[in-house]
Amino acid sequence: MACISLYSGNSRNIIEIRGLSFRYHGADRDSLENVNLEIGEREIVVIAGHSGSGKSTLLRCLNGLIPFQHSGTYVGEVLVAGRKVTESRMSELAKSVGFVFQNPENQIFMFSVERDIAFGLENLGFPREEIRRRVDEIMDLLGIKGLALRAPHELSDGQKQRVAIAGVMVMRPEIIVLDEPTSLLDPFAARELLQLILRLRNELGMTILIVEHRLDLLTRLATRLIVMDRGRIMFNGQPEVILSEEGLSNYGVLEPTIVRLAKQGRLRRPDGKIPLNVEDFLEVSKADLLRKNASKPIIPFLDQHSKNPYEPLQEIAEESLGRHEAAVSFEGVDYSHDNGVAALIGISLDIRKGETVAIMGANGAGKSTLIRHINGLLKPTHGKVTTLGVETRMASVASLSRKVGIVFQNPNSQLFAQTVESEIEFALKNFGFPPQAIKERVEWALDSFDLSRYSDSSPMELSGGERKRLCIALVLAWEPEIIILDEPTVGQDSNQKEKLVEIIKMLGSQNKTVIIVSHDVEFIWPLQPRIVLMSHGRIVGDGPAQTVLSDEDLLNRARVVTPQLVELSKAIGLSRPFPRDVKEASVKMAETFEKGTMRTRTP
Amino acid sequence: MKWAATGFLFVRGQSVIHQLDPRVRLLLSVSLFLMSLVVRSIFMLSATLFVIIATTLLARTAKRFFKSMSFAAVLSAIAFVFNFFLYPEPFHSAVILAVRLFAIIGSTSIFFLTTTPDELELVMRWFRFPSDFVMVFVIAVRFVPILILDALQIMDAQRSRGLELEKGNFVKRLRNTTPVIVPLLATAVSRSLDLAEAMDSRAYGATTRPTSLHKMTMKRSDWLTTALIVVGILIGFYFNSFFTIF
Repeated sequence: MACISLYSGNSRNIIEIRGLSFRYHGADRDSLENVNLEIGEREIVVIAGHSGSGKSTLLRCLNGLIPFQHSGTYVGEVLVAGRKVTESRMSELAKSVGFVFQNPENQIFMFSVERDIAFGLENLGFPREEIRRRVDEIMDLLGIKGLALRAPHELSDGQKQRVAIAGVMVMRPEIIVLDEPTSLLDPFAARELLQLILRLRNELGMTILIVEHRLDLLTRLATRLIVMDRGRIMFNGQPEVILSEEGLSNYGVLEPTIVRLAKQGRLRRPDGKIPLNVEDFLEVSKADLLRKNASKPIIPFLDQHSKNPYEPLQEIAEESLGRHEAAVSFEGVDYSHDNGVAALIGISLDIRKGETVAIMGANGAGKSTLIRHINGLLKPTHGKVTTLGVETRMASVASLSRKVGIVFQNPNSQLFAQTVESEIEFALKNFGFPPQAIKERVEWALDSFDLSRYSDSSPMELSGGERKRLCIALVLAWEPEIIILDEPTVGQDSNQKEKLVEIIKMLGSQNKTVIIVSHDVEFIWPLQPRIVLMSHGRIVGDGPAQTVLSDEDLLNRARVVTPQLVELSKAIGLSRPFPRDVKEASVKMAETFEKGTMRTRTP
Repeated sequence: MKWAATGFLFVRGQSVIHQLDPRVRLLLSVSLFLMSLVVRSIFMLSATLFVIIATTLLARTAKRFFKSMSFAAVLSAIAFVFNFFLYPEPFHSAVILAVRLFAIIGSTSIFFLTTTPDELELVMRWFRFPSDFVMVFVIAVRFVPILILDALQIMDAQRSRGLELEKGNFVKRLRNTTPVIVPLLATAVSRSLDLAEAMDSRAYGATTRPTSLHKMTMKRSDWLTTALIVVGILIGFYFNSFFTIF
């Protein structure tokens, strides 16, 4: 356990937590266990860890949601801005601690943006003129003045999150606490939101605590990184110190790509810390190169333990696919909602059997509408969709679904049965499988997805990751030929994402047609599928990942971020094909070193 | 079902009716409601209905008005059939009853089609409804469309698992709704827990008399309209005593 106190002594601590333990009412273990923490004014603190590690619980202790709204066993002391939480009123704490939640929808109450921003001040009984002044000021600062009279349903998720931030900022709190504010946003909107938060912090100088998985943007500016596990603080210190530690991924920390690459190559700055930006990285790799050339061992960067030869990317598979017949084909498809808004415009697309395709684009680009055409949930307004030779207009959803399995984004929107077993049986019964087959398939699904021990439990007792696995298992149980995964990574931690990659690779190897709808480029990139890029209801790009995901102009227009590895490869001067993962990247760097074409200084 | 979701999404209008103070709009709606309820003759009822339709035209909500009134028309038709064929009611009183029903529903929809939930909330506060009650109302209206969209998502997911909602007899169909109802309840509960946290985090309940960013102010046009409505009511009652049947 590394405990580095940055702000001991003279600087004033705005948060002090002493010996804090908390156990939710009815829980069988402590969600927080003897937490001690001091945070100074104007710090930016990033908190990472698995889901269930106690991050959210810790944040809720700061504004009094614990113990006032969630009851349980509370031991220890929390001081916020000199005030003891247990002896304050929640409405008092709301003035010092602004809380921004994960779900953009569930924290906007009023019907216009400005009324919603005013909500806190109205509750505190501020005079109207003062509310008006402050609301205008904050809308200016956040650049949302144009939205003042919009209703919540007229906002994108990113805009909703900005309104939520405005709604707490307007009370001028000294501390802003954000609980995974970007996890439901697409990466582009997430990046914009994080940049906004950092700008606000620089202009207004409040203390920020943020639970966030995307460390790449935050770590460069954060004063502190805290890693939690099972209710305890495992690491607490400067990001470059903590990120130099090994085995962080065991704690659910998604290290920035540059950190992983530096670790792969055993690169450290002269002060022993890990490089966090490209400049530092190039500097240390140059030094490393010189040192290694001098003492002769041949290839720097190549980890002796990894016998991972740099394979050429799968061009062969592409060729063999050419002979296969179409699994899904869209011909000139338009689709408009009831209110006349066009969701799909002129879509023509062929997906061949056995292909793995990722449909990418920002939230609202039309991805979900597109996949709902494949099993006939939606029928095109114009044009036609043919799935495995059947025109979808001519078939029922049930008959198409027998061949097309969709795993929807939110497990909670489909789990309903008493037990995990009957949850899997449901579709099998609907599709008329004989009892013996049902029994076998349920067993297969439980076994293959590591859910057997839960067969008699309620699906509600499973963790978020397990529920996701159950939703995949119950679809694969009826062996559809086409499998569609709708935003499989939303709300999933790094462990779960790795499992998802394995599942997708397994399906690919069984020659299933796999369609992944996702905005998560970091998840998609290592899979190297065919990419169909969507924007505003149209297909704007279609081709191999290497081409589409490295075209920055195109990606920017579609509001999709470039994969970190591509960005990094370009920055350090690696040529195409870009490496799929960190191991490949270091092999490729080694090769480039040998040839002497490595760029050692940034332009 | 999607229409139901969009029906709850309010559009901010720009017409003269929309510019009236919501209290005046409420007065107008209530007056027409009472008129439709008490006038006895078909002539007076037609006059009331005329005012109702004229107002919706003025508010440029005619399209939505007639869309929502198609339901009222069916209801009126049923009422007519029941009264005329099943009860020994004379033709004219069956007609009056049907038109009355239509006018009653029409008069209330004037207010609800032109009033945003924000304005409705201000009116409720003006009437001194308890703060908690107003908030429950606001959240209910705000989350109805969201829950409808949740329900649609859930139906999509379950239909993709081979659930056929429209298949089988009544009992079977009722049972078929379980896979939709259970997740919907779970979603609604989790949303409400989130909401409670978010409200508490923004000082909800700090004072019993919260202030408000927006304020309703009666302009001269509002007073004039109020006067017009009062005159209209008086004239209506005056004439109502003349026309008994026709």
